[in-house]
Amino acid sequence: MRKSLYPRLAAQSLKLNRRFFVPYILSLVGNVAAFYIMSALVNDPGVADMTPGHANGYYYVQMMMSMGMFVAFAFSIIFVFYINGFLMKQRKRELGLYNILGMGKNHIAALMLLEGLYVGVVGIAGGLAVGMLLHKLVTLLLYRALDFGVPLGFYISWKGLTETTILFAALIGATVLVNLVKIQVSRPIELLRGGSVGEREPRTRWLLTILGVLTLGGGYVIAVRTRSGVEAVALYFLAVFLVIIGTYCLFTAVSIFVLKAMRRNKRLYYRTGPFISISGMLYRMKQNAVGLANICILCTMVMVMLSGTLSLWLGTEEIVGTVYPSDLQIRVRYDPDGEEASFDPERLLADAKGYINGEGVAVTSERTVDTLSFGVGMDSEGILHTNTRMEGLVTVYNVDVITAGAYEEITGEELRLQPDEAAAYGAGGEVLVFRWDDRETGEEKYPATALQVVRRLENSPWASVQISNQLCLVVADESVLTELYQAQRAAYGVDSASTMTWYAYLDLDCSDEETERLSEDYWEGDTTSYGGGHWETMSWSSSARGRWDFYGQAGGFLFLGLFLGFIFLMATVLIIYYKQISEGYEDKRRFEIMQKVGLSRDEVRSAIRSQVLMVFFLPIVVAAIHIAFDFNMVEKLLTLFYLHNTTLTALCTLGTLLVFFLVYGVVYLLTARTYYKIVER
Amino acid sequence: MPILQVNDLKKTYTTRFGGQQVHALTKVNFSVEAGEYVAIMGESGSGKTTLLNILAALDKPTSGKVLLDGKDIVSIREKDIAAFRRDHLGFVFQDFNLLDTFSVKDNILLPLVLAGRTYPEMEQRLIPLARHLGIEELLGKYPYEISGGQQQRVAVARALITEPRIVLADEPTGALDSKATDSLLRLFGQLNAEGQTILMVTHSTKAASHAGRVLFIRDGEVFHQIYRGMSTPEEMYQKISDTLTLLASGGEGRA
Repeated sequence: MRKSLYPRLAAQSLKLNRRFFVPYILSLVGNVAAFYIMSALVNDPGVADMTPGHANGYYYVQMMMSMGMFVAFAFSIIFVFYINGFLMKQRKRELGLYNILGMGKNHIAALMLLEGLYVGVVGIAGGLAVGMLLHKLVTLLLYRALDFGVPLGFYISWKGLTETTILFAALIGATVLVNLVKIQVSRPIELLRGGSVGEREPRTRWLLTILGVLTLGGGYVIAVRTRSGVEAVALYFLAVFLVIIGTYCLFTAVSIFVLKAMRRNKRLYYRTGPFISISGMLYRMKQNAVGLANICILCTMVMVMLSGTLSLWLGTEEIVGTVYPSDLQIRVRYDPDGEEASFDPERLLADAKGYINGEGVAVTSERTVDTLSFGVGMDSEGILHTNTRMEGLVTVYNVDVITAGAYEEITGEELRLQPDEAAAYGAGGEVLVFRWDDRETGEEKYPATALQVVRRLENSPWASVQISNQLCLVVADESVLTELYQAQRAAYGVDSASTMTWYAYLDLDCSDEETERLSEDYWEGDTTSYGGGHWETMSWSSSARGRWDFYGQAGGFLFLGLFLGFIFLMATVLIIYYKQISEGYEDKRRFEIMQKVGLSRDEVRSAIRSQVLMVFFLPIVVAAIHIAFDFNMVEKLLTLFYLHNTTLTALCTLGTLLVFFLVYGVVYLLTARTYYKIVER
Repeated sequence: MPILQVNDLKKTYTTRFGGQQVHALTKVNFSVEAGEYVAIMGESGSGKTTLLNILAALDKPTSGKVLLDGKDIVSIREKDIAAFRRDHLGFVFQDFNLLDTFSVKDNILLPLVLAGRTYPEMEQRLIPLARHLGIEELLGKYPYEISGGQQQRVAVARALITEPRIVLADEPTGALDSKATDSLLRLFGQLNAEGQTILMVTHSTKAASHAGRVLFIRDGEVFHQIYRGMSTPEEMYQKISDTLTLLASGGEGRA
């Protein structure tokens, strides 16, 4: 055979099979582009020029993007091999024919090699081109998302280019290699026979059906009954695990069970629509159950990721407002009963203001709060124990105590409390009883304290930093606070007891950058000169810095979510597209026969439509149900990031669902056309 | 009045490239009386399949008329054709055309389901029919679990369940071994004896020898026909063979 024949033959074969190759190459372009952009962001040289306060946020992004690159490429490997396997299966007959018509296996191998080369060159070059174009746009969006100042100029990341090219060339090379091995070991007659192997009717698998109902139900119950962020963290992976198992069982066994039950209902089954679709679905579910379950789980993950990160990002201002109620905050941990001179808050505040004023900045408002924070365990009767090693404890709480005065400073609301009364947020009964027992011996170290809860608070007045359930108490005055302090100090012992923490919240009359500079520069001065007696630690932080860090984290998460979401969605779409085509060829014969025995064209069309709709939208509808149940858990998880905004989270979830359905719908319209063309011709 | 009457049927195909005209049927005339068993014979490319497709309303003729019970099926509107086909015609195909996704029972019921009948009515028709064709035991099985001969019986049951005016069979024995062929032809003979009108297209002399009348098609027109009269299938076989020899040697016989 002449040498010039192969390139022509390979090009022709790509053209003939364009129905398969075009989407493959397009998705390759998408994968390569996304990978290049992430790689370019990681290698961005502009970070060095960034103002110090921003750099931290950007490092979060870089960290997440390098993680994203890893996930994206791992996913590309699975995905490209999946598509390649599919293509090979569809083309078996064609290749077998070449072989029988006298092309040797070496010739076919040469053909495959050239095809791989074409696909690789077009896919990688196209992907890099698209990636370079979109990189600038993504950078602009990213910087806006991160609340960073000036975007960097357009640049091409050579490192990104080489990285991407090498990795993807290796990936495609690997698929070609796999194909060559397959060709070598195959026999032509097997190739010719291709995919036409008879399918048996699926059997009902009771065990899996029951398992599916139980795991899915269990996962849902856990998700719905989660009441706090801590519980959500503890149970999230269990719930996800159960739901994933449940989803696989749902698609493989429960679906068959339900379809068969429907088939047993004669009145329902023996009507044109159900008759065709139920029997068709039974077979489709057998072949595609795992694929559909995969798609469903992918969709769910992407949507959870997107809606969660979107809520976090949109809620950043609110979160920053909760954690940093003022422009600048000073935090001092001190021991009121220490041996050295006692901490004097008023003097410290005066010195701090002196320093700020000395820098030419005015303090526009100030508030101070004294708090105590310690851990207790609650037993089944609702009694709180400092002896957290005791047996029979139900929950562990972090107790935050503030005075009514501080409460009024924070919320502006006046609470009138007697010394034995408290207002509470979190769990607990009418009366809160504290038992101050030693953790080692269990011996009582201080007489038990009882506080009458006269008011339940809707929201926690105090943003707790602890990753455990919060019990926030507002007590009458300093003397109650001090008594509690002494009690827990006695119970825990001097070394492991909590100290008091004093906060000063200052609003300043200057820019964010200036506030950040003030809080940073403070450390360079002589801290002891601010006086105010003895303290254990003191820290200054600006809300600006907090905001930048939060935006860095939330924006980084969001972008990671968007990138992975894009790649997963593309994969989902492509898998569905290929399924449509391969099933189109199988369904073609079925519908032909039905037309011969009296199914009209319109009926054929509507039967096809309902079947395609079902297979296409089943995974995403199930995913939406998962999301609905998962919502409570995500909401509780987000409280750990200080986000308490159900409306925002709900809106983000709905928005994500809507966008997903829209994209999905568009893809449906595009792929369904191909399917109709195959089936109706 | 004949149950089926075909008048001056003509079908011309235009090739996709070059626009050349191919005459599949030039001028076909014949009629079938109620209760008749007619076989149509001809070589490959003689226009048999085109003729059957037109009779089945799967294809439209270029000109001419096909009257079923005096009604011109060519003039039936597109949206009514499927219903017409399912209510008046029964089909038996060479490769059975059973659906793997349905059980034998559901395959047989398919036309009734499409016609929107109630389930009790379906059962009422199914049970005696299945008993009659000897496929009662197969009802719960799937097409891939039974033999070719059994599959074709199931296909016959599917064709008969709508109680059609006429059964159109396209090479029904083409994919069967000789034993299954004999059995199927006996079944057709029996059904015909009970009054079922059958029109069969075949190029198997043996299949045709069971029919009451054999039409020969050549070059797109009915070239000759022979009646069984009182002759046995063996004598009929001989007559058909002689005619085929004559046809092959280019004789000028006319019906």
